[in-house]
Amino acid sequence: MIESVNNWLNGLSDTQSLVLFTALKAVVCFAIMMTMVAYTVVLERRLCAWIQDRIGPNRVGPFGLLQPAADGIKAFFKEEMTPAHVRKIFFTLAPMIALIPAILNLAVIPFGSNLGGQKMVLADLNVGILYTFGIVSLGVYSIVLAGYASNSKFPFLGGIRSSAQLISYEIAMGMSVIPIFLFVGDLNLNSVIQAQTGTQLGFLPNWFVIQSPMTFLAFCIFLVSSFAETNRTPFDLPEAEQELAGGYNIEYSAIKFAMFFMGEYANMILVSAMMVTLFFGGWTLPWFGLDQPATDLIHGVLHIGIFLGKVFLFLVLFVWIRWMWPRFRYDQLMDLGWRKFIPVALANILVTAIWLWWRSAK
Amino acid sequence: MLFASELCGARFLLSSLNWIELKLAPLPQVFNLCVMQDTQLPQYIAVLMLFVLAVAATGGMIVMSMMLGKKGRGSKIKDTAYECGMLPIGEGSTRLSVKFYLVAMLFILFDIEVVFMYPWAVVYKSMLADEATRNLILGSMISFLGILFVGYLYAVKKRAFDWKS
Repeated sequence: MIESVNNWLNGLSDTQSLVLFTALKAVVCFAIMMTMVAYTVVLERRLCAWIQDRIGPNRVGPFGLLQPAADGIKAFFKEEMTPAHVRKIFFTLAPMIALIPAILNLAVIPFGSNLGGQKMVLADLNVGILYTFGIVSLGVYSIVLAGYASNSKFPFLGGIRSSAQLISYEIAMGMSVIPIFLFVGDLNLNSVIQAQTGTQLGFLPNWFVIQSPMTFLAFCIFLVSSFAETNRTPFDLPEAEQELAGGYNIEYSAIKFAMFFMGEYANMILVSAMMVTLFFGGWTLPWFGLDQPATDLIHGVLHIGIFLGKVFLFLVLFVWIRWMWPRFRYDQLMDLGWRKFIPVALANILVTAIWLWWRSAK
Repeated sequence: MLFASELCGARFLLSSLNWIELKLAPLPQVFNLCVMQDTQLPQYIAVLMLFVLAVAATGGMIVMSMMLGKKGRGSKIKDTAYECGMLPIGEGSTRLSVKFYLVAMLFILFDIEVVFMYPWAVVYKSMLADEATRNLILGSMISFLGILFVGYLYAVKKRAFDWKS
């Protein structure tokens, strides 16, 4: 059986095997992503409960592990309500656009080294990070369209607020990572990971987050901006319940309502994966030779495990911060983005450039 | 390489049919190279596949919900916009502060500047290594960032980022 499959695989032409394996990887990645979205919701609910000294959902299945399935089934069977006053096409399109960019961004994330001769990245693009920022900026449309299509006051205000917030922090985010690429000299995300292998001072990992003060500052700006980009607390103004009764999604019901939240969690996972890749060495660990591409199956699986573990830690951070910080006021939010982060990020780029110039003189 | 990459794309499309593959087999070396790695075109297959998958999944969810969901009866009250139980007055899309337009315009300006910085960041290290270009690349970017910063200062002085007024 395995023999014949192997023969069939070896008989394929380059293009055929490329298409086959890419399709396989795409489907598996998509499935893992959706599972992670479902379980991030459980993680969030359990952790929230823990922080607030409650118990949290623990009735459905062992330890409440089947809760996302129950929630999903419920969302599908709920009454799908489309009010008469909405703009129908955009109203349906908005929840779809909430999910699509997050899924598309999966393509460039290197989630492992290799597994059986296959590179563990869907599309090894040489424009890596530019593709990411290009697709991330599409996410704004979902919230703007939801606000506009609902044709109702609270969603409209939420949508407008949120679009201004998202585009403001996108600039800070785009500027903050430029020092990294000054150090690396390549936009491909695999090259970024290659630049973070090895150790410094003998035992500390050579990750960008602690490689130099400039890259650490870049990480700080990127981290805060990513909270703003994913609409998480301190920056969850688009869905501020107390002022907007829920924000851009109040006219939605059933699965469409759920899709906005799936989009939010998918974006959280994605942004965590970006932070892991850019600042925390991606699938590498500097010890035990785990920073070299895998040559056998065990190391390949181990690399994927390391990557997922790091992403998980960031997700915990996202949930944790939600209960540690109060929400910003709108003028404070815009002030932080435009008047603090942009000059700091610009100065950071300049300092990095001059430092590299000075260092290369010797 | 444009010509070759176009042909590559053509070959890629055709080669899914096996019999054409045979006819194209004795192609010059350049074609095999570009199918393998010289061009980025094959890499975008994954992007296309993910896009199809994403649209199918999200569209499927909405269609499934339409079919499975409970059919409720509509009523006039149910169709009004949600405003915490009050009857809505006036239009749904109200007028909004001109500040938002200003932010959008500034975003376009600054975002384009950021895009300009990426190519510079990519070539920076290799141009620093060359004695002839190392001062040029630093100087040109300092002047670019300087002009950008003057524009930024102008926006700050014009109170474009003041939300309390």
